[in-house]
Amino acid sequence: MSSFLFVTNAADASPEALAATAKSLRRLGFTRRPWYLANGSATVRQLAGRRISIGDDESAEWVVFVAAGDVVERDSLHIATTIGAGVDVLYGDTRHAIKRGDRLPTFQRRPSFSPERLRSHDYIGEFIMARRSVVNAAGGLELLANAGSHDRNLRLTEKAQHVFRSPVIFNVTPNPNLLPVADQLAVTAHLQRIGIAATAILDPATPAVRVERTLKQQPKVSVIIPTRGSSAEVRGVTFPLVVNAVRTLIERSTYQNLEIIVVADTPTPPEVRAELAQIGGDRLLIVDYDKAFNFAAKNNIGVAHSTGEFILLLNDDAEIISPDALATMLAIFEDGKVGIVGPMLYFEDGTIQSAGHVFTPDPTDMYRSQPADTRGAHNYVRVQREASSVIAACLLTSRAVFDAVGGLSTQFPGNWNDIDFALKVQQAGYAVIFTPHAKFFHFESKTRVALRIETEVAKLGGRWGDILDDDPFFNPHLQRFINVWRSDFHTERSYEDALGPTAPISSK
Amino acid sequence: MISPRDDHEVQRLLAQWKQIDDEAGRAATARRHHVLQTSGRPVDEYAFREKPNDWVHRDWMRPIRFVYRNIPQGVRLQVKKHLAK
Repeated sequence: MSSFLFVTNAADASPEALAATAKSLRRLGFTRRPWYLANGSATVRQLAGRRISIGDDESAEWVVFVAAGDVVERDSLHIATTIGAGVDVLYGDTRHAIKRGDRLPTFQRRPSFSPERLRSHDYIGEFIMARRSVVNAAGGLELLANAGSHDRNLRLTEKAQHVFRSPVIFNVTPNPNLLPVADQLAVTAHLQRIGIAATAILDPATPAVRVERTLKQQPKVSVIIPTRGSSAEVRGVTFPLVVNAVRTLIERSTYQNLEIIVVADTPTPPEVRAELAQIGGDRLLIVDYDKAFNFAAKNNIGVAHSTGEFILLLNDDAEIISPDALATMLAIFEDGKVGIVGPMLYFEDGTIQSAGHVFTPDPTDMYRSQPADTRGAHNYVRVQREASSVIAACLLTSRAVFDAVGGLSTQFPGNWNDIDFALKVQQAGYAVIFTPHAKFFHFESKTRVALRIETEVAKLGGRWGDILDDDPFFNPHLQRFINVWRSDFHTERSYEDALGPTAPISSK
Repeated sequence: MISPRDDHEVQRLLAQWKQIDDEAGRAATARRHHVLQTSGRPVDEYAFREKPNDWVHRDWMRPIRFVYRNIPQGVRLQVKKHLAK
């Protein structure tokens, strides 16, 4: 009996590619490896021989899907052998055996299981391991071997109890394409199978699939805007920010079942209050706040005065861009397991302000200050996906979730109340979703650096330190302390690199 | 304009959320302690790590690099071959 059955689709595969994979299977050890070749011709069967037997092996505990030409790393088998019985689908990272000008290796470093992201594109890739029981439940070996990788990964993860990501290189591929594939038909079928009422729309240029859910009801959204009534210059014009936030929301948003609660500090000018009252009309409430600044407390007071089924926390220096932003964000809650949705935020000059947070371990706005058309590593910025947290400058949550976790923690008056809130929501079993399909401006200063108060860091870390150090939607082999998804080449240098005639220069 | 909620009701909600948040905080702290203890790491006050581990440029690498550069070429090639595996 063998623990592993390797599966490769031999259709369109060159003999050289199959020979490369066969060679890697032989190098895995002395055990004879069963290899199921879908669409394998008679000549392909000549690859059998020393340590390889061609054909199915129903006694194998794990089925390893490997693309023709890929090399299987031994670590993947070791991890599958030692992992707990509860894990039934397993994936890892990939090294691309392609030459770059700077001679640095190219990796696909993957986050933990992100079902929403998997609907957007196949971030898991060709190499995946699943227990035989899951393979049988997902349609059987023949069907999965012939399916495209996106279709196969959706089918396998649908049937899995626990999908596990190991941040270890599982395979080496000669494939130079670093962009995950996206299969619209596979996503449509997946949505039907699991009962999500949505339309899958392909963006071939990225490529990615946008899952546009059907909004079945029109629940009331309470928009909470804390403010001091300050004015600022935006696009050459100076105006009270909160007035602009409210006016643009009312004028541009296609979703109008709104109530607006403005939590105004005492110094808020009366003319600003009057203008707000005029714009907001019978949908507006201004709540006075005369205590010391506490962003979390101000939001909580606003929510306490509100009556909507959903709550949009909105900074006064934000402005809606896409008219369907609220409807897009609300529709994501149709899933039921979603606790927070955050949109894409842009600076005034159109560069990205935040594409969700990553803990590196410092909570970081991803792709901050990058151009608006940035796709990010492996299209990271362009796909709807799970995130560990999103910025509270604009986030949508449901009242039920807000109540269940006790709102924003007033223990974090200035910084990181959004991080703490998002982590509480995840601990309660809800997902945090970032969507690039809803867009807002956030007229924050580009040079603003969050004031780091050590007592607040200790407080946040006291609750969530282990998650900050190992963000599940990050990868431990990525460079930390930066706001892009990039492999860590400095600490990942090999001993040979370090010993070489010239040690690599740190700044390279 | 919308009428504000009764202040007692607002205060009741805020107190209720504070209590839930305190409980969530205690549970999160206990969860973190459990994770650290089961992985054998010390449970101490948290602080962000300041620098990535750039071991290539650490001082202890300098003598090793010096020795490596000055050993006979054949030995060096053997070491290189071994490390490249």
